Amino acid sequence: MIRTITLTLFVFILYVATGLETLVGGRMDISDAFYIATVGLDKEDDEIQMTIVTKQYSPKEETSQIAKQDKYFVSVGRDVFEAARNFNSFMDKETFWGHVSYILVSENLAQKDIDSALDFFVRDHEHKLTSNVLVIKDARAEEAIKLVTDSGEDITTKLKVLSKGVGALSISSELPLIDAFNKINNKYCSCYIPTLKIVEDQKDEPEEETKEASNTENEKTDEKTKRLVLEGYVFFDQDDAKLLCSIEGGTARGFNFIINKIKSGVIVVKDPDGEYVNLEIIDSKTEIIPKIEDDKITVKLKTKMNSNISEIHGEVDIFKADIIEGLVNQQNDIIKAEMQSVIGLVKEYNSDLFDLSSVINHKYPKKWDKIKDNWREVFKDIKFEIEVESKINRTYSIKKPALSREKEKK
Amino acid sequence: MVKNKGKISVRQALTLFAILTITPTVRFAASSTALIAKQAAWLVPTVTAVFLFLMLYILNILLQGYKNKSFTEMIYDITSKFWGNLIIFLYLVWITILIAFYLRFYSERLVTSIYPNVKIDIFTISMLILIGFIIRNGIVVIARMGEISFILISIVILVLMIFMIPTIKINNLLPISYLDIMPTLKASFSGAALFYVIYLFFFAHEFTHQEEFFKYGKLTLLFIWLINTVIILASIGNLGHAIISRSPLSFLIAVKQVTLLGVVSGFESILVATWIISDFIMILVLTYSVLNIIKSLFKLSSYNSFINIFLVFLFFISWILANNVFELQTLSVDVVVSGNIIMQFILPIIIVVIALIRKKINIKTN
Amino acid sequence: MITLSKVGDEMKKIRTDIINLNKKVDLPMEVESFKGLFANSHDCVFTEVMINKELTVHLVFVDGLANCTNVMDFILKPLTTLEKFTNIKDEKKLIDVIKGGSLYYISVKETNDVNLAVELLLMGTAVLILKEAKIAFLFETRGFESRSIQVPTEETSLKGSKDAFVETLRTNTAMLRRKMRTPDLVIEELIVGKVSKTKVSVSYIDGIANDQLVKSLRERLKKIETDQVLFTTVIEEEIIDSQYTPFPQVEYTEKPDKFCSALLEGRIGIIIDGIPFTMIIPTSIVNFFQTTDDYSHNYIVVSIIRGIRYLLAAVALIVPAFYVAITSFHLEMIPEGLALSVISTEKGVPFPIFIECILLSIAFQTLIEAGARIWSSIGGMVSLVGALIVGEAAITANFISPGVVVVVAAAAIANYTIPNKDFAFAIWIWEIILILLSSVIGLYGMVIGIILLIHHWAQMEVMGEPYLAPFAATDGRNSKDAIIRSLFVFKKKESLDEQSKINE
Repeated sequence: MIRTITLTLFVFILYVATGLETLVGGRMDISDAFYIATVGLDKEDDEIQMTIVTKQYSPKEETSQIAKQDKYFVSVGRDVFEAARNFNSFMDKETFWGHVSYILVSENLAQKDIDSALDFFVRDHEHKLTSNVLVIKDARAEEAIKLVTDSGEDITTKLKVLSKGVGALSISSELPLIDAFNKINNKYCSCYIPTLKIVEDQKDEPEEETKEASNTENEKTDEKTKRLVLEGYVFFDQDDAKLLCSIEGGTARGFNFIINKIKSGVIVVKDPDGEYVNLEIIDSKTEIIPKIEDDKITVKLKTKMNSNISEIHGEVDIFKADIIEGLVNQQNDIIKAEMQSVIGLVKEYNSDLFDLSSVINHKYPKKWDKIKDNWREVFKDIKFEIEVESKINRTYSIKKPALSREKEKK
Repeated sequence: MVKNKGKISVRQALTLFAILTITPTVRFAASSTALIAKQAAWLVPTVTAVFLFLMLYILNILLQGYKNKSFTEMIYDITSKFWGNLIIFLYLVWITILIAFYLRFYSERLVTSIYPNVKIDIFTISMLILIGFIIRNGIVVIARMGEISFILISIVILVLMIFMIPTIKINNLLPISYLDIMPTLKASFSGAALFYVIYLFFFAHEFTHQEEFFKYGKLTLLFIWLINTVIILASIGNLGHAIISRSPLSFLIAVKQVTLLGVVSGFESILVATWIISDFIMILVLTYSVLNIIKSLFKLSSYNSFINIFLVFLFFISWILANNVFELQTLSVDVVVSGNIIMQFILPIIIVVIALIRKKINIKTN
Repeated sequence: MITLSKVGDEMKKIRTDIINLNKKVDLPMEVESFKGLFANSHDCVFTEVMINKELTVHLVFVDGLANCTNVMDFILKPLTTLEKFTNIKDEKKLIDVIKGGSLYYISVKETNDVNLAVELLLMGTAVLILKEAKIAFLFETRGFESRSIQVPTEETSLKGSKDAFVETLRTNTAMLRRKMRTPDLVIEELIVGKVSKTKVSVSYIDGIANDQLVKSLRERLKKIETDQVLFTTVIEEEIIDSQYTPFPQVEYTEKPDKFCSALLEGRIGIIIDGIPFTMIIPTSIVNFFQTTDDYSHNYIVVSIIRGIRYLLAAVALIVPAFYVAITSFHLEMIPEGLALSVISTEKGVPFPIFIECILLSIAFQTLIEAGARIWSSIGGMVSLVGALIVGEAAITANFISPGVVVVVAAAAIANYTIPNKDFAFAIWIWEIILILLSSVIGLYGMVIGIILLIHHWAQMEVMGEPYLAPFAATDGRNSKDAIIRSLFVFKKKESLDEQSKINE
């Protein structure tokens, strides 16, 4: 007994020590793996071009020049999987897809078929479903990756910082792959995906830049400054997943108001003197309340919002009930207008952009069962109402503006 | 010292039953119920629990009527020799197919989830070797392993649940209305097919403390109901019924989403580990009951000589069953569910009814 | 000591000698017989005592075993000085006088059997031989140098009692009696070992311990065929059921309080003369995770710490294998940040990760072994060299990656927290087995290893008690003290009920 056990153990150890790769495939030693952090997908004629970037890890000593060049790779294939496999023909490491954080899809690829572009990422067992999807507007994904990588930055970190920073303005948000897939899958509502764009001239729209982007750009004083900005959304049709339209700026924020993805933001109103008062959005909650009367559906978008005063330009002491009320009204109008522009789009494309279907499903499950088959027809006749209820709660350390005191003395 | 050497208590047997149920639950409860009952799938286990309760009640009558007898002996006693042979042969064939089915499914699952480049035979053969090695130790060792595995599996599922609770979206689980009654009932049939308790009765003669069957049966029922509900809740609550119903490995996908504090992830590895353990226990226990059937059908004194032959036989059957995983899934939905319902519900009930009519047993025994 | 590994003729000769010695000698009871038996032993003292001119007796004792002062004061002195004796003319009278108690010594035995006399002589008895009557008186003069009771060296305790067992059996049994003043405490004694004739005591509490268990243990001890009982395993290997296992099946302790509390749980203790470690059986896996200190600290704290012990044992067992599996098969299971740091540390290391793990794990064990064997005067060298090699040089030389060092060291430290060192060693062996298995086929191999381990435990039984109790096979009986230590108030009520249940 003992002898047999020892012998088997010995043979086993010998076997392990000599050749294990023959029996069991699929070994991938961690040091042989190329960890992909960000993937860019472009359309190249009839083929798909894929750009992959690894995440920079910071070893103690400075990596050599060669390592810096190896940061991104490009490959082409008839479909996504082929392009992904083609990397193995020229790379010295095996590609590993388990930790993809961002998937960038160029607009012209998204226009055609976003569903097949994402299928590989959902299906393959290695992928995690929490990676974020972004559409690059008016540019190629490779371009965006090149832009950031060549400037010596890490694109994945950059995108992470951007999506964190975008909350300060609430003009876009993050969308995990699984949600995108769920939305594309759902035939009653259209899918939205946040967009990235490359902004060329800095002076063009100074308000839109995110802090992080501007900081890094200020250090570099090239004659032609380009930078990556996360802003707005693109929408896809609910039936065939074709690209419908894109929104940005105020409309994008209006959309965020509707889907409750507001984190913070700035609203500028004017005091009685016509000077600016800046309001910081603290929180916001929108309820979508559908109402069915005689087969007619009316939808009420009820937004409750709180803001604080963060900056006062004028000299008037605005902390009086009537002035505050005026400010609140202005604030309401701004939000209402932003949301109204989204409703305009909804009407224009006759598309359920903000998942109204599920709201109706939850509230009127029986009714929904009847109308769901010709949802688009029904959707056409839906009337939308917007109601905004906002408050200005407080300001911070100082109450009155600096000049208002002197004024009283006169 | 442990009394009744070579026997297991009813509590241990029911622990084995609980593990037997966890395996298919993790594999397909969420997806199959989501397919039919959509967002109301999490109500299905409650309906199936009623079925199981009835089942346990009926089996309890049987068990109390025949103490220290195996199910084969009970069948012989209740029916005639000819019919007894026929029924037992049916069970033999059916459980063999079931084992082969699970053997195949278990290997397919490993290959689709974490070992895409590995030959599937490796998993099948290594499992069979392991079973051939361990089954010789008899039911006592199997039951003890079952108890330890039960503790491990429960802890793992509990911990995973705690991690998954924050990401459950209530919207995915609503609305519930009377429209969901029919789909829920329909879906509960596929759920009821998972309660393999009758297959354990083929070694009922090795149970002790049989009078505690119903008491511990109810506890097991509670556990199974809880695990089922919780798994379906977590899967559908996280990903929505649309994705879950499409995925062959629904719970795995749901677990893949789990990240702790945004940093720690990869919990699916723990889940996969418990899969393998629970699959192993399931195949082990079912094989043991088949060997017991063989023993009493052919009137053998010991089944030891049969083990190797049967395992080789299993290997081939698992390959004859289906060409690829798609066929296997069709088989699972079309044949296995209805077959299980016949073999686990209808047949035992008929047997009990006949026994009651012939006054072999009576309800008041317990 | 006679090494049993010697082979061939020499071995045969030694064996026959032993057998001869063991045979009952058929010699007359006179001093010549003793002189013949102990011809070459210089520690055997033969004294001729002249009581008066007519009467001479012989006194034999072993120097060092018998207390010389006692022999002088209570045997020699009265014999030669008391008038009662000096007036005696013949041996018959002398026998009467001694029997009458004039030699004021307790436990005096009269015999004409040389074998018995020799046996007791070797235990420290003084033998007074009367030439003509061919009779010997045996005086219990035992008194040899022994270690005094000291603080336990291996099992330290913060609040518990600080006495430890010593080599002398009688001292040890006295310690037990002092802790448990009940006639129910039974201390049986057997003699094991053909040559060494070692006293082995079996202690249990009558009424709590299972009678069948005691009976079967007694039988097993009686069956032992051995020359010596100088080491514990001589007894251990005879009384356990499963031979092919690295896991300990007998619990050792040098603390009387632990021993007594085990007896109160219905277990049986074995004390071997000459060994300061006592054995407790039957054992199950929980016993190796408990310490006596558990019962002298707050129950909530202890329950948590016990839970952590189990967790750490699992860490020690699994973590290196898991690391090997996920870094060479399942990269998607490593959290992103961790993966990146692993990659950066793994650069330029020539070995695959599993080889690194095994090498390092053996290296840690080497350090332990070196620390145990090295002379204490240069003991500091081990930690110095070990820390240098493992900690610094191996990493700088790119032999081993820091990631592996972290993982294996974490497992090693977790391993050291297991209270029972035998158990810890066994866990270490399984750790290596799991690493090997997971290096072949990743997580699957590891799980197969775990299944095998569970099976290994499941089929083990100690004296008929399942090794996995109370986690398995007991229907939840006795599980109260497994991980959570309840309050003593609750425990007492339960223990009586449950013990009676077991004894039914």
